[in-house]
Amino acid sequence: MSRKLPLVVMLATWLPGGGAVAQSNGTISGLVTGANGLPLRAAQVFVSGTGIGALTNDAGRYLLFDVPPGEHRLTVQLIGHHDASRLAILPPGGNVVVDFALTPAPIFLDEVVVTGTGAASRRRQLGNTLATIDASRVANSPISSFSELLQAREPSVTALTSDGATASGARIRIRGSNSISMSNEPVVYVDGIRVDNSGDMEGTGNAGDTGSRLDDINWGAVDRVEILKGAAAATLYGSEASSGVIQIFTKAGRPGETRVTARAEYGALVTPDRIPAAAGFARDAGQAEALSALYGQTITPFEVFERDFIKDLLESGRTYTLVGDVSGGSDEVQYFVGGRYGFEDGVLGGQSLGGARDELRRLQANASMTLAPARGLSIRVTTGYTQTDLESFTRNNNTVSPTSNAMASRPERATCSRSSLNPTRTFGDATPVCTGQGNPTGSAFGLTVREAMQRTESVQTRHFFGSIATAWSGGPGLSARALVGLDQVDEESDFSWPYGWNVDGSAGSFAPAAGRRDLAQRDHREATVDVQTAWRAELGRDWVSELTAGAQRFSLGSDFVRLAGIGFPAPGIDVIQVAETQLPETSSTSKISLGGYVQEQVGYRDWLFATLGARFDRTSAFGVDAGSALYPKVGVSALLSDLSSWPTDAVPTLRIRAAYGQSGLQPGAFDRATTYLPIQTAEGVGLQPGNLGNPDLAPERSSELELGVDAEFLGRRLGVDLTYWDRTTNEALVSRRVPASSGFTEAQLGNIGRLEAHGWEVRLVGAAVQGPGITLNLFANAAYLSEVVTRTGVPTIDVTPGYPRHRNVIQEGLPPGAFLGARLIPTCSAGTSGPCYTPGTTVPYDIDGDGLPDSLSEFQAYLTAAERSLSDLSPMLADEDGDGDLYDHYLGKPTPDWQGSFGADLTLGRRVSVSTLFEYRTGAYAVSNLTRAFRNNFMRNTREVAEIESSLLDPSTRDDPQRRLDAAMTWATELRSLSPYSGLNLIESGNFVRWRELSLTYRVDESLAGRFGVDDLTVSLTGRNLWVWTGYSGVDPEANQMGRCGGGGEAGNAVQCNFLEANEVFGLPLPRRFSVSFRAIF
Amino acid sequence: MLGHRPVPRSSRTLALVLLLLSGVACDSLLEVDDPTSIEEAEARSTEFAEEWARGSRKMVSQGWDGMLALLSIASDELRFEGPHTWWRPLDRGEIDSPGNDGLQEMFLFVAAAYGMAEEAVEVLDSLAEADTASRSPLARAHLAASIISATIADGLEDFAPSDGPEPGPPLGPAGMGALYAQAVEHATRGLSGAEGDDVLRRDMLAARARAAHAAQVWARIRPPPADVSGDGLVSSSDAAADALAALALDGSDWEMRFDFPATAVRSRTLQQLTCSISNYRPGNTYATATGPNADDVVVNLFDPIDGVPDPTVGRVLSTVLVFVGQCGAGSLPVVSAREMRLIVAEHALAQADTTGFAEQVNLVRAAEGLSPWSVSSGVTAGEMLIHERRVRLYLTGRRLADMYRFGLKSDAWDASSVAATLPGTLYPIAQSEIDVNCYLNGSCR
Repeated sequence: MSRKLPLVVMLATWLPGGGAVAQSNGTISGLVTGANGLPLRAAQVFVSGTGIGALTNDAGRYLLFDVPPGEHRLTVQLIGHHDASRLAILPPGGNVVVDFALTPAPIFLDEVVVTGTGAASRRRQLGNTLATIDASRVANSPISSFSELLQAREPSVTALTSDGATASGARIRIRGSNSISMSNEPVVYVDGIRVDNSGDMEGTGNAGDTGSRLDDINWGAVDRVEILKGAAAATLYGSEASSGVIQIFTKAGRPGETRVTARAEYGALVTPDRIPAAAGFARDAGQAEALSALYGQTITPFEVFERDFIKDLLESGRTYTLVGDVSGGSDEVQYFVGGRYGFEDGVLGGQSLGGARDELRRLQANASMTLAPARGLSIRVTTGYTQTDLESFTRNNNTVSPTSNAMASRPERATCSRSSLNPTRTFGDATPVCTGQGNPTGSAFGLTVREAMQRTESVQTRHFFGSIATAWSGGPGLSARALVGLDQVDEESDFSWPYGWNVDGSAGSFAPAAGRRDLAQRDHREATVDVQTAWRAELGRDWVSELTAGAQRFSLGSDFVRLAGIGFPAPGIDVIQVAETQLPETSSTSKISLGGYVQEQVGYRDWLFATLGARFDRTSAFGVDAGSALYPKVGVSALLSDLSSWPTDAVPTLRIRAAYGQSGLQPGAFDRATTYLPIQTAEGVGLQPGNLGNPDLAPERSSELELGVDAEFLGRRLGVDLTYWDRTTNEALVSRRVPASSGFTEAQLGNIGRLEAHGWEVRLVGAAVQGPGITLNLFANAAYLSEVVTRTGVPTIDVTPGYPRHRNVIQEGLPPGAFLGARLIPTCSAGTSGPCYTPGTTVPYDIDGDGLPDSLSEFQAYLTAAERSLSDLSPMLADEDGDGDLYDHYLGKPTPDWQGSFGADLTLGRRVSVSTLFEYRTGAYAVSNLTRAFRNNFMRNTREVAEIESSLLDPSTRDDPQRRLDAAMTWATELRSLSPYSGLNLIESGNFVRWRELSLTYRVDESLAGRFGVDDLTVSLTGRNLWVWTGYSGVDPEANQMGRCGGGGEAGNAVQCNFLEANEVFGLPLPRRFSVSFRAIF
Repeated sequence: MLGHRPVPRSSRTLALVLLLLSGVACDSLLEVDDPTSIEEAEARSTEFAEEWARGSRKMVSQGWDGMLALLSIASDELRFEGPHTWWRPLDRGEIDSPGNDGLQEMFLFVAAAYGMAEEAVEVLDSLAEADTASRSPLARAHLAASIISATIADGLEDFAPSDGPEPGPPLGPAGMGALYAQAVEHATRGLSGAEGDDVLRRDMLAARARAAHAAQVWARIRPPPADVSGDGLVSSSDAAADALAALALDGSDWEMRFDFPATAVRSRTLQQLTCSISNYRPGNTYATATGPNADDVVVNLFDPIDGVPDPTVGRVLSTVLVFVGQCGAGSLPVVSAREMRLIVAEHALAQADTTGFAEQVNLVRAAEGLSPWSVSSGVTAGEMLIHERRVRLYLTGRRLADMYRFGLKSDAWDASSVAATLPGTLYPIAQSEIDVNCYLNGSCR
């Protein structure tokens, strides 16, 4: 069945003065609802063969003027619903009412999409997948950022969160990792222009945890998002699209009445109780007495006690958001103006201790105007502006973090030795505060929690984008469009250790007592020019040709200025110019890409489509003399169920599709050149080797094959969308270190790597219940990912060079980012090679140093001969391959085999709707629990470790050798992790199911709402991150220290940003977010 | 046939223009500028002669400092106490693991300094042929190259100088002495370009003296086990002559120092002492630091004649620890008048000239306000030399070799450690360098 859309369906003629009505013509009006009876907005209603059509308004009503008398077929189309069609007989000058009730369409193949398709195309024409997110469907969902809008919506599109601090950014991954050395972040477009989606320049939270520029996008002004998942779909985006493309379309006005929407949301943030309290024990009676006095509880020697410092440092956060927009217009002019203001006071408490804060203020505004100055010509102007003011705090893997210090505190070391306890003051509920100097938590990092709270971090961002787009449709089938746009980011950060920050007398820190202040500024610009022409021609009755050609120019420029002042003369005088030491630093980068493409698509009877295209790219990264890179694409789509012979009863819709395409990633702007850097030396300006360069650099090239099928079953109530993809990245850019004795310490990029990956994506959408008064729609999606580094051309690459506690590596034959580390020698069994132990006979310790496990009796004698510290107990590590490297065992990978989401949308009557969403990761998903590892091995402040250490040190347990033996065995098999970085007992399963979203929405009675002048009023109660089911023992299986990473626009340390995944290091768990919101349409 | 009606001319023209735009790109549209770096050809011009010399000195200071961080923790001068436990094995004398992360971190600076120093000499050599203004920078580049060559020989078992970015074959443990000869050669060539600059000539002579002396020490301790016969003394008339020449040029109590201003470059050694994540503390036999500040230092090492806490150790630590909070800023001596005098003194002692020995040692002691040594002081000349080198050259990287040749052990060394069982052992080439050098990992074809 053919479902051609009329060429012009937006000719709404029902506005006052919209045009003269012929005397004999009449009107057709009606109501369009869903299966549950609720009105549907923006449905297209048109009279077949006439070009007459209109959109439904907010009440679901439509009105068609000037309809000739006679019999007409009326058709209604709306994204996500099956078409509906009815006959209407209109008498001369009369009026008829025709209502429609649309049913949900699990598979909607006539949705018009534009990203990566050349000209606007219906989904049925595409051989590749193209995911779309309709923002209106999540308008009442608990979403506070654009990253959250993306999260868990589409298979293979993953938002990797970092931790529970305010504005902590997420990295976006589509189909895993496509590159080793270049960024695996997708490129992002808003209304056709490329925008900055990097991390915060400096990274609040230090240790890499940064916010994301992606979250500057006002998701409330988003109409829909289109996502290209890989090279097969993104070919037309060329040399930077291998990791996918996200295109965001902002809302536009529609012809009709002015529409005003207002929304207010108030919420609370609560940190889940997943961080174990700090445990310790007194070593003697004197210490026990002092601790008893300090903590106001009875503490006895060698009896483990706990203090929940981190709980005391955290508090419930609060948040509110105000949103408003106005839209409307006529046939000639449509407009949209929207704004959003959000405030969040995060979960960091302890404000009585110091200036550290966790607050975000974000003002966002968007506007667009579409003009139609002449027939066939339209001009659209869009702008967006976001102002972000973030106050944050150091966290994660950082010794100067207040939260890390609280988690790492050793309560038995607590003291107010330089002053006295202030009995009237605590922070939180119970953690005491010293009158003067002291360390009442026993912080183990060389400064106290109170001192860490003195450090302040603030980031201000001004992010603007704007574009002008012109579209023209001329002669038969000919159209063209041109777009010019600019994205501009001004970012300033101010990190400060104030004068006299060491209020508890600590001295060893990154800053002297006289303070330090680091200011930074980034001026970042991205400019896009995009032109395209398309020519559609019918070739006889059955064939249609669409020829598209286009060209783009993209340029990027960034200027950085950093300025540090160290040592100020007095409190409050912290201007850089009076600092004892001033450290300036500047840097810049720029890049230009030019590209063009040609694509031909041929369609046969609107069910069979073949596409052939190619993209040509040139970029400044390869120099002006380099040639073009060519990326081909081909695709086929066949809607078999549109064949007249198709047995539609069992499978009413069936489409098969295939696509193959290539795209690339280009190296950094100046990676090709051999350069020397001007540097400051003690004698003045000097030179040092910078980039070794490589004149032979080329873009890495991803080739991807996609095969898929879309089908509907059960009378169109169940839809299945299944895709298999297979991708190879050839000529992958790998940083190849050269001998340091060359003078160059930076690695040299070369096209020497190769990655292979394949996966499955399946999405199920079902209309479980469709009845009067109730609808229940269920959905589930799953993505399987298998990826392996097949060639690097270099030895094992440490993801974090110089920090061996991060165990992620890039190594041939393993998944990217795989964990390598130590294993305990195995228990003996047939076939075991190398040292092994037999429980009950031998132990995995070699105290006598003979290279063999000690006997049980030997070891027990050792344990009971004296009190033993855990430092005395080093378990034997396996070296099965005998290469002397104890840390080369594959321990897991930071990406799960399977991830996805499932959920339901329920409506009850006309007023109540419930939506919920669950997200999961499972199957060989490993997380490096460094928080526990640090706490077990260095702070020894987990209850488990404190208890076994107490067993070993308590003289009274000498008479209980079994207890000491049990403690030592638990240490070896479960707890010992860092020695100093073995990875033993460090990596554990991170499988989880998280209840990500829940929203309950009540639509207020129209008459009641009308008393306040409101057409539509809804109240929603929502919750986010409500619960997590996981066997993971750490703080949060999603907590990762990296944040968005990639600060500053360029890749930075891209390998680390790409693959330092699943490392939980003193982060905070994702908070539960509860909110109530009110949404009104006027 | 496409379409049913002819396409208007204007439409065809527009389409043609857009198609042309899509296929053609003017080269100038791709030109970008990198204002923060200098391309190779431009950098090798006379305009940057001074910058090459300064850059070389800076990188050499980092390399020298990196080796100091390794040598001082392996000797008894410093001990490990901190969170980065990969330093612990080095403190315990287990210094033979190429994969140790402390070694890998520091090796990078050491090796890169060598590469930069040699390249700077090569570039400035070619520039100086035509440009006399480049001769002074060339002389200073020679001084830097001399220092790093000797430093590498001081600390490493082996080294593989690369040929630009291409790996080069290793010198081999037995061939490492060639680096001292290279150091002497650089200093000799540098002297010829240092006319009129007495400070530079003094430093050049001192560097040459120190390299010649160290070559003799190296010959005693290599191959391990170290030769501790004859009280471990070495004698080098060349070194003594250069030392006296340097002292003649400048009779004051001078030091040639590498500066690590917070505005330019940080010392890894000082970072380990003065940052929040510090890993080093003064060796127990030298001093106890009750807190992180300079005021917290209590010197444990007493002068064997006067019985007072040694003033040099206290001063050095105070000078270092005053930078607590600036994390790696400070200044460290490379060669000094005192080292020159001790070289001369040792040479005299090796010749059984106790008078000459006493003359030089007592000048050093007098500079610290200590009583002179004599044969009747109750301390032998050998003991006096060992003590004076220990305290006057504290934190200059000489101690480990001295411990080896004098048969001393650190109380931090494990009895089974390689430093204890095979004295004379130095650091291996780091695994990171082995991985990328086919001559070292055996993958050359």
